[in-house]
Amino acid sequence: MCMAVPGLISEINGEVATVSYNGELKKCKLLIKADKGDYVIAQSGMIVKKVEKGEAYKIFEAME
Amino acid sequence: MNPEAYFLRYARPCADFMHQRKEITGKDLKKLDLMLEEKIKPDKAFIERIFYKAINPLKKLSDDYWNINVIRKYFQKEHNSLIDNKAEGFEHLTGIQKELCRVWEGVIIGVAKDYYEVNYNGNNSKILKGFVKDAKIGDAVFIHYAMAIEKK
Repeated sequence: MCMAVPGLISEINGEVATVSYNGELKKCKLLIKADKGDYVIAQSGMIVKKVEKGEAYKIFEAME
Repeated sequence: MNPEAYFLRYARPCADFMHQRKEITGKDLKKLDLMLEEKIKPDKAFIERIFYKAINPLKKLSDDYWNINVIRKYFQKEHNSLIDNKAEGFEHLTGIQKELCRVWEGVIIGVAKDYYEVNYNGNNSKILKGFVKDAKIGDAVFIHYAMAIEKK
């Protein structure tokens, strides 16, 4: 529980980013500044945090 | 508000991530939301099964743990010390997960349509309005997962 899962921004269109969760795509609104290729955490459809790549990989590893 | 709905205000954000990790189903999420909105009778056993990692320490606080005061004490005090002490269920969190999982107290410094700008943890950050729709600059709020949960 309480383990936030990062997604990867695959596309940005204005304020809306397409975020990929293991290939599953979700549209999320950007509340913070982030770019294509960034790992982010979304909450209720809003991107609230950027996650450094190294930390994202660590989280994915822990999930396996 | 019933104690189950109050508990879910704090716990609900975690359910999204459990869903992403396929630990619970979309149907489970819907049921949690209906209980959160007090549209159906709360199913204590169901909530306790999903959020057992929060319920176990909550039970230690009081025998009468389905009580708003006990739940408040858990989320506003106990919860963060479990994270700090890497208690069971919280031992593998990375830095960002810890930050999001912690319950913070912050002060509103700006109000926008979709979000509040809040000073907490030494920074100014944007957070979702969540369950607090009418806060003004200067109000203190509790924050969980970058979302306003309740006013202080």
